[in-house]
Amino acid sequence: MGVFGLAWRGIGRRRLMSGLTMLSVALGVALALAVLSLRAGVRESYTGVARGYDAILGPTHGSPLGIVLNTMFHLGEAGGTVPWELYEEARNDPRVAVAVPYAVGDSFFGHPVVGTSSDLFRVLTDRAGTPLEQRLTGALFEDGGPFEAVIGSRVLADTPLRLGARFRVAHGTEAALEEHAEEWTVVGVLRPTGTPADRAIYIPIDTFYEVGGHQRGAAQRGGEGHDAKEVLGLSAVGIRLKARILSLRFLDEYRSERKAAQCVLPQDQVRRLLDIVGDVDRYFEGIAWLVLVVAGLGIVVSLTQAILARRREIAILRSLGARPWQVFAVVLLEAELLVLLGGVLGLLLGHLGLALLAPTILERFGALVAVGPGLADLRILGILAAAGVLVGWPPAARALRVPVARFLQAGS
Amino acid sequence: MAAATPALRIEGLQKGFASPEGGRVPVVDLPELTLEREAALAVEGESGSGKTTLLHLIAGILPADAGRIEIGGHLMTGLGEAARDRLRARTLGYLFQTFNLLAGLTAYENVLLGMTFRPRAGLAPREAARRALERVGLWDRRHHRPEQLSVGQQQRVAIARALAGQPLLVLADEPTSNLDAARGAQCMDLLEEFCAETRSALLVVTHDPAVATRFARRLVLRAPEPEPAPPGRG
Ligand SMILES: Nc1ncnc2c1ncn2[C@@H]1O[C@H](COP(=O)(O)OP(=O)(O)O)[C@@H](O)[C@H]1O
Ligand SMILES: [Mg+2]
Repeated sequence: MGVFGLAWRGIGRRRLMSGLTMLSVALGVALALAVLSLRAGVRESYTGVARGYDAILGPTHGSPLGIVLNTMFHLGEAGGTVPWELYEEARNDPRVAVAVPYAVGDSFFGHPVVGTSSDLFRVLTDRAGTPLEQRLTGALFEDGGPFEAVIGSRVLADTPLRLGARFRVAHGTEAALEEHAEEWTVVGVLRPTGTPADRAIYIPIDTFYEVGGHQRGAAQRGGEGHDAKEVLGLSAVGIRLKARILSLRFLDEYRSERKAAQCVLPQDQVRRLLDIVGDVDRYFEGIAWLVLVVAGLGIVVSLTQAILARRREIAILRSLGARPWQVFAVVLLEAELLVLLGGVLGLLLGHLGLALLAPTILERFGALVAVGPGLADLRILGILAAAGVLVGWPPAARALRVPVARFLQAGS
Repeated sequence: MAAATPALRIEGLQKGFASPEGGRVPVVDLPELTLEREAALAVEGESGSGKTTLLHLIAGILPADAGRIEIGGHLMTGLGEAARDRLRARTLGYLFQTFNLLAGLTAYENVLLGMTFRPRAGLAPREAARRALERVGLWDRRHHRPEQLSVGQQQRVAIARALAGQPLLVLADEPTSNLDAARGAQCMDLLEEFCAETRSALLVVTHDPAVATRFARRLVLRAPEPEPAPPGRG
């Protein structure tokens, strides 16, 4: 029955009040954890993915951010086309290390089908920086080759597609519109990468143009005899430069020469996007802190009330030889226990909520959110421990000032 | 601590409280009192004669205005608050008129609590608490909380708490005033026997003649005469 036992009994005796204050701490912590993790996850995901290319050539009339989101995050729709020649030109540009073509617009069970080249798997990486090529089970498709496909891990999880399976794709991004007649075979599956690649189905860009439906479209627009890829063009071209500092030159050139495409710098666009989003999640963060402050005040009030009601008990403890600091410690420890227990509960709730939210976040925003306990939790508990001292101090100081002789005599 | 030092020695002890009209109301004025080790003493006095205040002074719960209080040769007066707490925990057992058991704790925990703030000497606290509860015949009720016990049983728990640590001196503040005559006598029997076993000196304050007459040595306490009002006041 030491200081700790007494604090614990204090909590147990005011079960309702203790439970409520603990719950409010838990809610604040869960909210703060969720907001902070979501923000960190989204930020890291977006900036990480955006580092994949130094520049993107997109349709002239598309919005720069739209081009980045469509090309790198498989979100939204391509806002037009880029002439095939620009891809050839970029490939032969001495400053360009790798140029990756994109032709999009088809889907399978809601997953985007991306016509591209095998270069994509050498340029883009997973969250840890490992090239996608090395995250592959099975094989890469052959450029210009047969109707083969590489699928991301979420595709594997969400659809019947498996290694070796054959499938047809639908025209358009909404699920189950008109289906193309051609069949692809899954030759490779990407292990989870924590990037938008998890949701994508990659096919060789040549097979994209060989699709009957696309060829008929080309024939209507460009007439017979033209190559489909020249008529249809591309959605975008991702560019990795030999040196990143070249990207601004590259951008200037595209602006001044009035080419048939616009050049956007994905890292600039994402930074701009996050600045806008940043305001919003700062509000959420503010709300989380507010909940925590209210919870803290609740603890101060409840403990102070408890002390007014328990002055006789404090006097008894003192009469039994408890030193002032021991009485102080009992009250402080009670606050500390409430805050920390609430905090642990909040962390559990927060991680649970994140685990439930994470798949949706990945689906809708292409961002991977860290789930599960981590070092950050220890930091949060550390902050809470300090806050516990802060809220426990005033009532503990009150306990020190209880006039012992007077309350020993008061009848029970 | 020489064995010759008395359990309690008081010299020129004075305590008063500020009265609402200004000036001071003297409450305790005790020129001299000595209580040898393992001895017993009854202090009689009407209600309001300063009995409780005297015990508070001896226990160091209240600071004295003047005079010396020594417990087992250790000076209580003049010590700071924390040092008084420590000396009290080490040497005294206190039995209150209203028992002052903690409502949230079981009988066993209440007794154990009495050992918590005491520096360890001899028995481990749990063992000492167990023996004390056995001694007062309440070991089988150890998991009961005070409100689940009769008044007499609560008083026995309080006796166990006061004596579990084998204190040098036990202070008892009207220990029978909440009990009927028969229970009061039983309570006093138990208290005296237990004190003899733990070799504790016993100081009982009471206004009950039935209690006072049990003791060979008795001291009658009277409230000191109020000081004359300061000149110029009503
Ligand atoms: N804190 C205090 N302030 C002012 N007067 C007090 C205080 N405590 C006790 N007294 C007064 O001192 C006198 C003695 O009180 P007390 O020691 O409780 O007497 P007893 O225990 O003999 O009944 C009473 O008149 C009481 O009103
Ligand atoms: Mg009294």
